[in-house]
This record gives sequence, C-alpha cells and structure tokens, in this order.
Amino acid sequence: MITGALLVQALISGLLMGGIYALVALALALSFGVLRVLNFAHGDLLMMAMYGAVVLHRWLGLHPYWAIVVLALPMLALGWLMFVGLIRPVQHAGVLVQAQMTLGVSFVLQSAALMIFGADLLNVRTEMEMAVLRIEGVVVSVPLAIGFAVSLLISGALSWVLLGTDAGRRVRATAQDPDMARLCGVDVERTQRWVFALSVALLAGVAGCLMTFSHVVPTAGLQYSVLALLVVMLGGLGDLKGAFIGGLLIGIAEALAGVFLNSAVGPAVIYVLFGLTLLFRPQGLFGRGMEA
Amino acid sequence: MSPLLEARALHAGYGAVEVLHGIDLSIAAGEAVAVLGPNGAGKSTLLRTLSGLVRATDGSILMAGTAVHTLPAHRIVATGLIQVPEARHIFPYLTVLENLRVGASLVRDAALKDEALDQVMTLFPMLRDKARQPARTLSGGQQQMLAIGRALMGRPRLLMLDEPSLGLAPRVVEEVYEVLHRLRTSSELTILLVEQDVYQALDFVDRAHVLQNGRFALSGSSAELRDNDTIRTAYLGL
Ligand SMILES: Nc1ncnc2c1ncn2[C@@H]1O[C@H](COP(=O)(O)OP(=O)(O)O)[C@@H](O)[C@H]1O
Ligand SMILES: [Mg+2]
Repeated sequence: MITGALLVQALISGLLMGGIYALVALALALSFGVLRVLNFAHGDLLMMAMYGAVVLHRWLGLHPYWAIVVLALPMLALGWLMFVGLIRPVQHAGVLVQAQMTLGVSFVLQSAALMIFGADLLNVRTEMEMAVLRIEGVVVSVPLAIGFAVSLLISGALSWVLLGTDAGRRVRATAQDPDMARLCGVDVERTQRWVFALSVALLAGVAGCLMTFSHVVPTAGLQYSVLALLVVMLGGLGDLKGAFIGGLLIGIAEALAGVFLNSAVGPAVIYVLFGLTLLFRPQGLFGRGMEA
Repeated sequence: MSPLLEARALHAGYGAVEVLHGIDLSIAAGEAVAVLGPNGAGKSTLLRTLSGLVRATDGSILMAGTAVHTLPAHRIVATGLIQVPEARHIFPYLTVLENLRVGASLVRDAALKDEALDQVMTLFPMLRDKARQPARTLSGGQQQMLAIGRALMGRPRLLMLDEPSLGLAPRVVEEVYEVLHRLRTSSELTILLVEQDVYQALDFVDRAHVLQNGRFALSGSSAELRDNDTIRTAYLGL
C-alpha cells in the first residue's frame, strides 16, 4: 500500500541522495565541458576515494568527513597525473580512442581494487550511521542529510569560483571556445589540466559523504559512472546547471522507483533512463554551454 | 628601424595540405597594412599562423624582436600581437564584462586591468550599458565592438582584424572603421587588416598585399593599388 507519507518520504530521501549524485555529475560535466573528453573512469576514481576513506578509518580512525579533507590533495594529484599521462595524449584522437583509454583506466582501477581489497563489501562503521531525524512522521537519515548539505556546499563553492573569479571566467571561456581563449592569452592546456585534476579531487568530497552510510565494492564505480553520464546527457553535455538539476532528478526517480516497484529496482532505473535518454534526447533536456 | 612584425618565407597549412607557400610580411610600428584577396586565398590562415593557432611548417615570425613561430598561442598574445578573429568569436555565455575581463587574461596588475576596462568602455559606451548582459544577446555590430574591445583589453601593440565588416550593415561598418581610425591616431596602434571589402580597406590602410593561392600576388601603397588595373577589374568592379 503506497501512502502519501511514504511518497513524501521517498521524495525527500531521493532529493537528499540526488544532491550527492549532483556533485558526482557536476564534476563529470565540468571535465567534459572543458576537455571534451568523456571520462568513463569517473565512477571508478570515486570508488578509489571510497576505499581511501575506508583505509583512513582503519589505519588512523579518521571519520569519513575527515577523509574529504585528507583525500582531496591525493585525488587532485591523481587527476593531474592521469591528465598528463593518459588524457592529454588522446585529446586530439578520435572519440573511440578516448573511450578506450578511459574505459581501460576503469578496468585497471577495478582490478587493482579487487587485488588489494578483495571482493568483499567494505564499510565504515560510524555512530551516526543509523541516526535519523523524525519530522512530521517523515524519517530523514542524518548522514544522508549531512551528505546532501556537504555536497551542496562544495557545489556552491565550485560555482562561486566559476562565476566569481577571473580563473573561473577563463575556465568557462575555455569551455565555450578554446581557440578564442588562447587568443585571449589563456593557457588552455594548463586550464584543462587543473580542471581535470579538480574534477577528480571533487570525488573525495563525494566519497566522504557516501562512506558515512554506504559501502564500497570494486565494481561500485560503474553505477556512479552511468549515473553521472546519464545526468550529464540529461542536462546537456558540459552544462553545469543542467547537470546539477539532473542529479537531483535521478535521486528522486531512483527513490520513487524503489517505492513503486521494489527497492532492488531503484538503481536499475538509472540504466533504463540512460537508454531512454540516448534514444529520445541525445542532445540533452536543457541548454548547453556552461552557463554554470 | 627594425619592423614591429616580420614574417619571412612563411609556410603553413592543415595536415598535408599547405595553404601558405612562402609569405614575406613586414610591418613597421604605427603602420596600417591590409591583406586582401578572394575567399579561400589563405588570409585567415595567415592570421592564424601569426597568432600561433596554426603552426608554421617553415619560415620565421619575429614580433618586436621575439621569435614567436615556436611559441604557443597564449604566449604570443603576451608580445602584443593580438587578433580579432573572423566571425568575432565572442564567448556567448559570458557577460559583456566577463568577455572583456577574459581579454585581459595576461594582464596581472589589477589597476592596469581596470584602466584598460575604462578605456575600452569609453571607446564603446554601448559596452558599459550592456556590461551585465550575456554577450550572445548583442547584435552583430555590437558583438564586433565587443570583440575589438576584448582584444584591446590585452593591451595590443599590433592589432590584427580578420574581416571586421563581415555580415554587418553598411552603417555599422562605418562605425567600426571610425573606431579603428580613432585607435590609430590616439593610441598609435599598429594594424594588420584582412578584408574582402577592398574599398573600405584601401581607404583605411597605408599599403596592402593581395593574397592569391597562398602567395602575395601584388603589393603596394593604397594609392597604387587603387589605380592598379587588376584590382580595379577584379575587386573594385570598375
Ligand atoms: N581548419 C581547416 N582545415 C582544413 N583546411 C582549411 C581549414 N581552414 C581553412 N582551410 C582551407 O585553407 C584554405 C584557406 O582558407 P582561409 O585561410 O580561411 O582563406 P580566407 O580567409 O582567405 O578565405 C582554403 O582552401 C580552406 O578550405
Ligand atoms: Mg577568412
């Protein structure tokens, strides 16, 4: 029996989860918008950061929220190296070569995780894991709500940088017209290097939020890659506002599917939506062009 | 005095296709020079090569004594060689003000940046009125003004313009050239102009080259070229 309360419950949980998805998607939309290379290893880099949070907890007893801070720099460095070593060399190659490259990275990361951590599901036990708030009969998971807030904060900081600083304006100019940006004196390659590194570093934030209530397995990345790709397609490739709204919508759609169908179907909805989007709106639902 | 810009035996093209087959071009400080020629002659390719967007496969380019043919495009801008490209290429989703600020990417000093901004907005009062609007909402003529203003934000010594009158109403073309005149006289800007509108161009510049199939087929002062029979029949329709 689906009651109104259950629906509200699903909408709220979905929205909160959607905020975290939005950050995953935002990071991918940012790197695609500026590099024009679609990173199929996006979710796997997130998976790495999630394992990072597990390790930090086991070794140092650090809460996953601390992992956001501690992992940001190594993830930035990882992204920087990946751009220089793997993305940059295929940037002017065909789309298929680029896809092969980032898919290759995806497989390597998954295999590495499997070798190091095994196939078991790992999580971080925190006191707050099961904590809930009850508001007017609606149950809100505390770590989910905090994850939403943290994601919103990081997304907000990102759009402030993009909209309000000279560096951000150069990033948006590069996304819109790289050759013209060069003619304005922008070092486009350097801009792309830092944007890609930043898009990977942002995943540290996501990983910290997720690990307060979720778990990680070596294949966890695929789900997030597909989700981010879907959102980025929905929002129009490279469009940040669209990516953010898309992330929220996916979260809600997943939660509603869990209620109306059953909870195992929730994630599958992402794949179905992905297929439908490719069929009917390959150009995206919203505008394009990184208006941020 | 050595020229401000000097290109020697310049060859360039796209992939295996060579478009420029040996261009020699020398411009002294304070001069205005035009490159004329039919569609597809390689005029834009020449400017793109000077700016470093297309790599010279042979030859050399000296700008104010610096060899720029090996520099990446953004470093060439720093020598004061700045281009307003064909079709304007404003950043459509940035505001007018943001377009201008990106134009000053290499100007580190905030005070200099503000000064340049003030100069450009005095030159084009329209840009001040529309500062907060997305650049894509401007008319074609306004976008051309913005493109010129953005180039000026980079503090050019030699401004290259690729068909600034393309697609604009005659009245707007007049306005564009009025501004270019003012820049020449008041700011001692050196100008390299690419045009299809031969009348306009010859009125504006001191001398010109006619580019055909990747070579300069004809060179001379504006007066000489205006009287040249080939030019009169092929371009001026006389
Ligand atoms: N990006 C490009 N790739 C390949 N060929 C090009 C490109 N741009 C221009 N060309 C070719 O180079 C030649 C010169 O073009 P261009 O420099 O644009 O001429 P113009 O500006 O004088 O009209 C033309 O034959 C054109 O087809
Ligand atoms: Mg041209």
